[in-house]
Amino acid sequence: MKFFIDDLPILFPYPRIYPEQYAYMCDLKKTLDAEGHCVLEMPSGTGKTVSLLSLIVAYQMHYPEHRKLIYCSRTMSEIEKALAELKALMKYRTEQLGYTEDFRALGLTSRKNLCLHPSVRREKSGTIVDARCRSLTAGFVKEKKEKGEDVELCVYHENLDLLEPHNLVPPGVFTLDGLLKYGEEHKQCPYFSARRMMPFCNVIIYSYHYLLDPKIAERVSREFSKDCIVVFDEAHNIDNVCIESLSIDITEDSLRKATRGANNLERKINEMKSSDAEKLQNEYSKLVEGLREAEQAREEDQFISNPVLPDDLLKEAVPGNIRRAEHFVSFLKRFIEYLKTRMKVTHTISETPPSFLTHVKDLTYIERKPLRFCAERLTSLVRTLELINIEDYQPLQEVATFATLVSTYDKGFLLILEPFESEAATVPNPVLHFTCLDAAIAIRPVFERFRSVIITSGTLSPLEMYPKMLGFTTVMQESYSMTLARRSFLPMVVTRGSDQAQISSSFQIRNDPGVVRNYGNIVLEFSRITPDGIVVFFPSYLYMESIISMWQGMGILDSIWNYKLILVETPDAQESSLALETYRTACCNGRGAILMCVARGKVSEGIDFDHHYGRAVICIGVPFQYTESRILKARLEFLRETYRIRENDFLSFDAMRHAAQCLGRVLRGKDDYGVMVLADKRFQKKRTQLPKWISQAMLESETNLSTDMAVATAKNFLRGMAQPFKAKDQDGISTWSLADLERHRQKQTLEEERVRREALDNGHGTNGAANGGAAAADEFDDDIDDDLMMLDAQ
Amino acid sequence: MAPPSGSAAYKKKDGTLTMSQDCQSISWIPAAGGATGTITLPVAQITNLQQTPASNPKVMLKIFVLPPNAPENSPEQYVFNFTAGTNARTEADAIKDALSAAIQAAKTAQAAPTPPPAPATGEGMSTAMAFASAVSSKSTWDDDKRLKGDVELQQSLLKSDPNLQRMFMESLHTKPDTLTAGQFMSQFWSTRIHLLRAHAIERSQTRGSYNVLSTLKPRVEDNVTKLNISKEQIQLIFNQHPLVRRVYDENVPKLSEAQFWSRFFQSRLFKKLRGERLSETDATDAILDKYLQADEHGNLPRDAHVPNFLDLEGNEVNNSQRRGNRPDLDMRWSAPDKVPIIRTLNSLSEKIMANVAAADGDPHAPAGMDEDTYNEIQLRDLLGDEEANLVPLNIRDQSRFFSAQTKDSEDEQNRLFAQQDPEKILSDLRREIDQNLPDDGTAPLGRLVEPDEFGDDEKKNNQQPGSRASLQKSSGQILDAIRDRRAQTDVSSTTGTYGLSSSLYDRLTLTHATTTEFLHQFWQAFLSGNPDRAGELSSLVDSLHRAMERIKAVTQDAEAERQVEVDRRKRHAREVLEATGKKPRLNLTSIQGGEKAVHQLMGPTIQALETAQAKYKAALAEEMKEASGQ
Repeated sequence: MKFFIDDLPILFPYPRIYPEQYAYMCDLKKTLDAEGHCVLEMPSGTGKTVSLLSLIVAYQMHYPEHRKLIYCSRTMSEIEKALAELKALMKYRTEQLGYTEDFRALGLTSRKNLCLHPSVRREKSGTIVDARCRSLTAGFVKEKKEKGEDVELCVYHENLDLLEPHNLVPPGVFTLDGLLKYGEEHKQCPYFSARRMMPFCNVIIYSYHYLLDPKIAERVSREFSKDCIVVFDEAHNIDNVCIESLSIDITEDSLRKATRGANNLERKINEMKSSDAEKLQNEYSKLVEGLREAEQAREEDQFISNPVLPDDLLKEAVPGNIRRAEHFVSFLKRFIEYLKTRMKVTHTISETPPSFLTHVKDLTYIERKPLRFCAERLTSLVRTLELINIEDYQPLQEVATFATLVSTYDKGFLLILEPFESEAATVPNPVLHFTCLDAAIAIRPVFERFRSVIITSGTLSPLEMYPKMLGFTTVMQESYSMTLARRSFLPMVVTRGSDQAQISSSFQIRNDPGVVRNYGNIVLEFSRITPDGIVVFFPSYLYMESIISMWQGMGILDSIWNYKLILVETPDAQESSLALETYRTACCNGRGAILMCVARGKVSEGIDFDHHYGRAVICIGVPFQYTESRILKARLEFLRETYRIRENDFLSFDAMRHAAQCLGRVLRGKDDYGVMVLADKRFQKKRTQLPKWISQAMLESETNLSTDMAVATAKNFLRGMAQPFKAKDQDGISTWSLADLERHRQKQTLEEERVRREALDNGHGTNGAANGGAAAADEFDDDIDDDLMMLDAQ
Repeated sequence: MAPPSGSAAYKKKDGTLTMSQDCQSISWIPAAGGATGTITLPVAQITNLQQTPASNPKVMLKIFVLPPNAPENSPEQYVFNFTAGTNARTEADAIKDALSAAIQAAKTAQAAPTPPPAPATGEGMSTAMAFASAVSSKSTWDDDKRLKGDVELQQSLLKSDPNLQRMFMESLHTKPDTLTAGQFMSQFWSTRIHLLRAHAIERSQTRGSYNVLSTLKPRVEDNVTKLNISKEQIQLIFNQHPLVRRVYDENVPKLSEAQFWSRFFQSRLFKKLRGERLSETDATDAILDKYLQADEHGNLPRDAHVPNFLDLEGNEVNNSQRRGNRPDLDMRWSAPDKVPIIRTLNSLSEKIMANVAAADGDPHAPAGMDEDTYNEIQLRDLLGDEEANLVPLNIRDQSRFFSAQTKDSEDEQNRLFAQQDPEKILSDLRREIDQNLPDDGTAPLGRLVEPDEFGDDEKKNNQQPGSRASLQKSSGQILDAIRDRRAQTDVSSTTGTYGLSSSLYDRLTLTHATTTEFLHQFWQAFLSGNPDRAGELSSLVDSLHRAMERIKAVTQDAEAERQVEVDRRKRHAREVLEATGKKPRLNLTSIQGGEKAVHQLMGPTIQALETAQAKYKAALAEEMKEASGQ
């Protein structure tokens, strides 16, 4: 259907629209018009992605600026879904407009997922694929080949050079699969095709880290202009991604490997000295001029992304004491040895970067400044030495990155040395955590660089948390409720077992046989009454493992086998994928199955359990983080001191967003239905922290149920859901046709008019002084509307 | 050419390795000990051949054999050492060449479904295998000819559907003699292919298997732990746990059957298969514990393509340069042997679903998203109601079929109405209202209901509302309705059989069914336009004649039955008269059934028969005329 928001014509690829989709698009447009940031919480399964894409593509195509869209999502599955939706949208636009628009959209994922090289793609680890890919595609390798040396090149990559550099793939939308197919047909590398076509795309869909990883982000800024629209979809976990991108762990093992890497480097340098000393000299003179000049190689030749460097650092010359290759290597070795001695300590230490640096200086005379250049210097050296088996230097690179990070940031980071794996362990296994506490650091450049950043997800409550944690201001914050013609999902809090004993996953009672049995009975009872698929989420892997073993011992699993197949998320991703497929097959086949997985695990991100793939979702326990973790404690302290966020508020917010995320997995569209069970007595008090659309649907009477009551309620609900429900039953209520939309707009205009007139009347009536203001408001009535909107939003 | 053979040693025993005459197997016969130690390896099961290089003085041939139902990765190996001295190399080469040619042939033959050779273990094919082979030769129910020819299937369908069976038997008995049984069968089934197909599919559907180990629960009786296990359960255990089959195979002659199972259910192996953690206190078993190390899980398809929407592995490597602190203690996995249950659950579920076509497309299909995958992410309720996909069925000139009924006076009237021009009626009506109704809105009610029909010559119909005649008419209508109602709610034994006795009614339905059957066949043959079927047609017309006669016979019987009832009532009335001197009112019309009922029921059929015969005659006459004209 086609409709207008203000003057913007929007082509929406369905004949109907959900009211919340319309509201979402209106707010999006306001944000874009205002060139500001926004936080929007849209109920799961109400077509967030398609609304977002329809509006932004319409915006791009209609206004002369043609603002580019950078759409970031968490996982490859979600990237692929967004690409598929975009592809369908563009097909619809072409049909409606009668011509094909000049439009390009590509997605990007790791080399591992996009590789076609027959042997490289077989590698199991992503890092090895990266390294082997570089050894086949780097510029110097090609130079060697041209000199007649016997080196191997990747034919898929080489073929790209035969094509026009701005037209490696034809215009249009390519899904990742589609790009692979195209690459296979035309014998060209999908990864580099996408990578090099990025500047020519109207829409780019890739994962967060391309924007959040500081070094890549730095490069991105060169490619993309300020008025790009940046969208972080499924952004409920964005703070953790930010933190992850700047945190690093160092173990004894990695230090050992780093030493080996440094020794290798030394050998290589000596070899090169005897054969090609000129190259090293060249590098040296370049480094005098500054790092930016040194960085002239093609960007994909980059060794590994480096942490953020302040602008002035890039212009500065590299400090003299690490400019020579051999000096730099011995410098690195010294630093590694220092770290090794630090690891020998047998008690836990946590210290700030400045204190660490002072200690380094006292012991080894290593200054802060050369440390800051470590990562860049190593990259440059590796490039000069033309190393091929780069994966050997990975641990060394980690140490260098650590050195750079620790010497660059004073605040928002902490070093924690844990000599033992756990409290009970007696054999030391030390780990040095360099942990980022402030999510704002990684994302700050994004907010500074781009004018419109949209943070959106199905679960962002409470909305004000995100601007606070990530340090930005919004022009729009909104949480939408869900209009429903029938109660299509049933959220319930189960606080007691059938024996009236309280259930909870709190540490004191979680392994209590009575609690475990009660949890088992919930799963068993629901497997008895629920058709097709059930998804069970546990708060952690450890608890899932122990509870499943206990259920087996109690014979609960044996009883569940009578109703459903049982599948479990495993440590191995491939094995889990297969389990997931089996689960879906059993759901389709009518056999029915239960999938047990973890609230923060692999399955909870990016995999949907819509329709018969999930008729019930059971959250066993509140998915709190491991509260004994020192890293978490440090972060909580930081949040309290810096952002005035109380510990318990944050912990509870964090647990509830993950719980809500799990619940939202079972819905897609309003014809879908599902039971949502929150099984823990602590949910009763926390339910207000659920997103609006879930907490509104929860009846007061269903917040303190025992297992048998919950089962009876769910049975009733499922029976109701089995009644025929036609699309026309919800017409005009939870779905709008074009006519409904028009009616709504008319009503809205009338309402606005009325409000304006009333405001005007009031102004006239109360006192004369307001007259001037009212008259002024009359002239800028649009602003008033916006203000009113903002009031509503708050 | 004689099959190649050579003297070779197996396990240090001398013997002869010979290719069989039909190249289907290779066997080794020991020189000493006669045929007892003979090894026969079917070519179809050989997965690999290895031979020592020509430079090596030792000449050995290694044959990898994968018995059916054995796990994919555990082929058995046989090493034959050729002992013919200088001749060894040539002998070995000859055998190897012949063998590889035979393997090649067997492999290409396997592309076309050939039943796998019966497994040597004698346990019979697993249901999984049976199902798989049923799937591979899926044409069973796609091929109409095979369905028609499958007598066994037809018998089973008849057995499951008594109505159909009765109709079949009746038709078979009354079929024209000119029709052979075979012809009749093929005709009968040709119109019921869909039933056969549905039945074939239904039969091939089997109940899915279940996790058998979880259902076995020992119970304690008189201080003795007992456990019953059925043959099916054993078979399921063997299917779900090939390891148990192996253990059973290798040990059962030594142990007795009962011994084996009782030891098995108490063993660590059983616990392990159930996914339970082993503890030190578990009883040990000298024989069964040997198998504890065997890996049951090694057989998973490893390089399956997973759609991107579900690809957890792809998600994990989405960011290859991932940093970050390691996960918290509770988010780390334990070693798999600590929690064996998790892998057991998955592999069991996978085994149970192994025979079902995957929901997410063929896992081995090449990468690429198909339409279905995309459809999955669409919001279905926003798409609106799907338009019903109907095929309009046009029947031209329907009145022809029902022309016989238009004799009815009501229909006459309808026809009269149908002939009138609605527009004219409407304008007439409007004119009348204008004329008859005064402008002030008052009007005599009677004139509205039964307006005077000026100029209408049917003055006799001109009745006033409230007149005696119309009152009578309306009360008659009401009584009719009540009578109808009563007839419908009447619970006498003859309800639903229209006054016929149930045996007669049954006969009638059967007659009806067979007649319809013959009509069906007649029209098929008649409309086929196939001159070869002319002979068949005439015999069918004969059977139509006979069908008519059968109906008549039933009619007569029904009438006779009714007459009996009539006589009985009359006799009863007479008796009453004699006894009481009062003459009871005899209502003979209330006796239903008889000829009238049969005609009422069979009317359309009789008409259809007549039409068919008339058509045939007309066509025959035409044909004759043409034939004589030539």
